[in-house]
Amino acid sequence: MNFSKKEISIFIEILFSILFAIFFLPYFYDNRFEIYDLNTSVNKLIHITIFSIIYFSLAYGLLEIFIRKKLINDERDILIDLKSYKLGYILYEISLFSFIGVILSVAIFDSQMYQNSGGLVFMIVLWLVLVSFIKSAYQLYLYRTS
Amino acid sequence: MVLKNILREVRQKKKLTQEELGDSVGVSRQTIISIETYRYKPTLELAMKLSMKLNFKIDKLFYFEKD
Repeated sequence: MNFSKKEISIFIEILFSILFAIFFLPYFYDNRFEIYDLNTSVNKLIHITIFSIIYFSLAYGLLEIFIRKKLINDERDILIDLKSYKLGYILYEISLFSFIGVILSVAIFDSQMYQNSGGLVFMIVLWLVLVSFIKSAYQLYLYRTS
Repeated sequence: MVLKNILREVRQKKKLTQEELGDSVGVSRQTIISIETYRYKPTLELAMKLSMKLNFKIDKLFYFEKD
């Protein structure tokens, strides 16, 4: 299978979502019943930031070294970007409504998990990773099929 | 009605590679491949650029075919 530079850069984004889910999501999951405290989570946030900077610098650096050809952003790229970002936008909208639903459920059903802000933070992070993964996967699908 | 084209035949007659044709009209090789395999329908602007580059009438290069 032959992949273009653009397709490989989408693979890099997909891999980041997977690695984030493996290395960082468990932390938010474990603390879902806790009261979210920014002071105690600051180390984790620094880890995430450093990991993201190193990962993207390395991945895109290697991509530039191995595939030197300049990326041409043409009308097909714009169309594919529009379609995938539209899907991402719809998913973010759904997540926003779910988020509002969860906040209401706390008041109505006295839900244990979401009484503390840790549960809400976990839900937000999970949605962000999921939406990012789905958007990138759909973008790759469009590049391969259209 | 399906929009089809004879881009591949005309390009090969002019002895141009997909990359050369793409570079000359400002699109990637993948976009030329997608047009040639009818997976992507170019905008009028790109279709006209291709027609001018290949020196081939646009209505002959792109045509409608009944389903």
